[in-house]
Amino acid sequence: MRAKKDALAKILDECLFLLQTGRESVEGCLSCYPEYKEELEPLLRTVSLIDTVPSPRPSPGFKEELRRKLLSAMEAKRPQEVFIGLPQRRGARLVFGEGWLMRMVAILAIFFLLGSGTVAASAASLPDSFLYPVKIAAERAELALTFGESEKAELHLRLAERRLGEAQRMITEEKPEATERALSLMNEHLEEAQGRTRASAAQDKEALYQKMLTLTEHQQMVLMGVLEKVPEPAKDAISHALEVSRRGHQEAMEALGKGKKKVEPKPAKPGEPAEPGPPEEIVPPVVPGVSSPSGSGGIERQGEKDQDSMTYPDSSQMGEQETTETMRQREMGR
Amino acid sequence: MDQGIRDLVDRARKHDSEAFGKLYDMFFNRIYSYVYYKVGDTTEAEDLTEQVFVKALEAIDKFEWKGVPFSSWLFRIASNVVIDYYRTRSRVTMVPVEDFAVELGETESSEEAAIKKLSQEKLYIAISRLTEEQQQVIILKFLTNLSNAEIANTLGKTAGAVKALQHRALRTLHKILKGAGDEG
Repeated sequence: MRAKKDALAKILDECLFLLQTGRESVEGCLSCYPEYKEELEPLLRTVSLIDTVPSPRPSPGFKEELRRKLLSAMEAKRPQEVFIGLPQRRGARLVFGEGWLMRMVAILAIFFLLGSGTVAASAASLPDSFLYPVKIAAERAELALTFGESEKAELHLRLAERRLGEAQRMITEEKPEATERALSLMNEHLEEAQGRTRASAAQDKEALYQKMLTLTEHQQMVLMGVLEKVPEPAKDAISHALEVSRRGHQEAMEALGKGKKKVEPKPAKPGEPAEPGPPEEIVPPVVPGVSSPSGSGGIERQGEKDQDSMTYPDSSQMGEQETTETMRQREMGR
Repeated sequence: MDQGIRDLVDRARKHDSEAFGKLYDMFFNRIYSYVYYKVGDTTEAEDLTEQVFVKALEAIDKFEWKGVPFSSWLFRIASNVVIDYYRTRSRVTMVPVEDFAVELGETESSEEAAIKKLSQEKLYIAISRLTEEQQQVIILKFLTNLSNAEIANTLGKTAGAVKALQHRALRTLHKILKGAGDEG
């Protein structure tokens, strides 16, 4: 019985091959295996029946639209490797004479290839989105088109703040890989901002370091608040981001001539002991709406109005573009 | 054909968008058909098809030739997307069994008439009454035209097991289409 079933399965497969390749008709197959006709016929007729059903089709335009989106995302991946990656050498900054023309052409090519619609659509994308590389590519293009060390430093700080907001969202949505992606980019932006700030004109440094201070305080407040609540992979990324942030904070503090202050890190949960203090001395995390002691000994800002557009996502809302008015009030209250 | 796909995949792994576009063109209809016959809804099928290709785009640079055809790799992604879809859904759509049975019942005396009346929706309903493995083999073999080897790689089975499975699946599907409803 079993042998007959096996034989029938094999013959059926042969017949299906002949049918599907158009080499034989149902009748032709049946005539080849008359002893199996009774069992084979209904099966082959069923296959013929399936063949008559038209293939399902998506709504008009869907295939083309998806194709366009996918290719845009793929294009965004490729140029990143060519020129979008953050410079590895401090001396390889984007200045006139250092492949400037090639980069300009590449940037224009990005916008041409991606189309303004895709770039605009990517603006709100998060690290878990397939449009995210488009967003990053657009930002890198903006960086490449920004001239001057101070201007670049400021933009890097702003982008680091944006990455922090994205990381918060990804932590909330329990997406450790996307969290790592955002934090890794955030670290790169902060380190790049540090390098650019050092190379900036003397009159710009103070304002830049002040912004770096604000950013790193915000980073530490956010990251230390979630460190104990995230799974291991994300925990490592957060710990590393905290280290990078502390280094940036320390540099900003020293450049601004502020007194070093000890900080008691915020415990992860009420009632639990605080995390052991980091090796470096850092200022307390800034809580929006509360005066920061770090401001007491600071150098006064040069301009009344802060020209940057750094955003301070609320730790509960985690909106990427949300500006926290309290942060500005704190700044003005100094 | 195989070498052509291999070249395209190798180029796509290096983020060649033209190559990825050609792969997309080659596989879109088959992936869409697969997903459609797994969920039975055009809108959901579009959404899931998009997810399949997005995942493929994200992962293609990690694809390695390890004896698994690219098509099997892609259909595994599709299979996982469908599994995730059913896993995360709070509401399960009930297959309209009665509608299907009544309509086929009227024509069961004439298989030719049934053939003419069989629509995508009816076929989906009939397929959805098969076991999961039988569904897979019917859809992959007859609605997306994968070879036995490709199906075996997609399902993690031997080619011999696929032959036996398609035999059982066709037998059951025939009974369903005849209105007997015997899924044994």
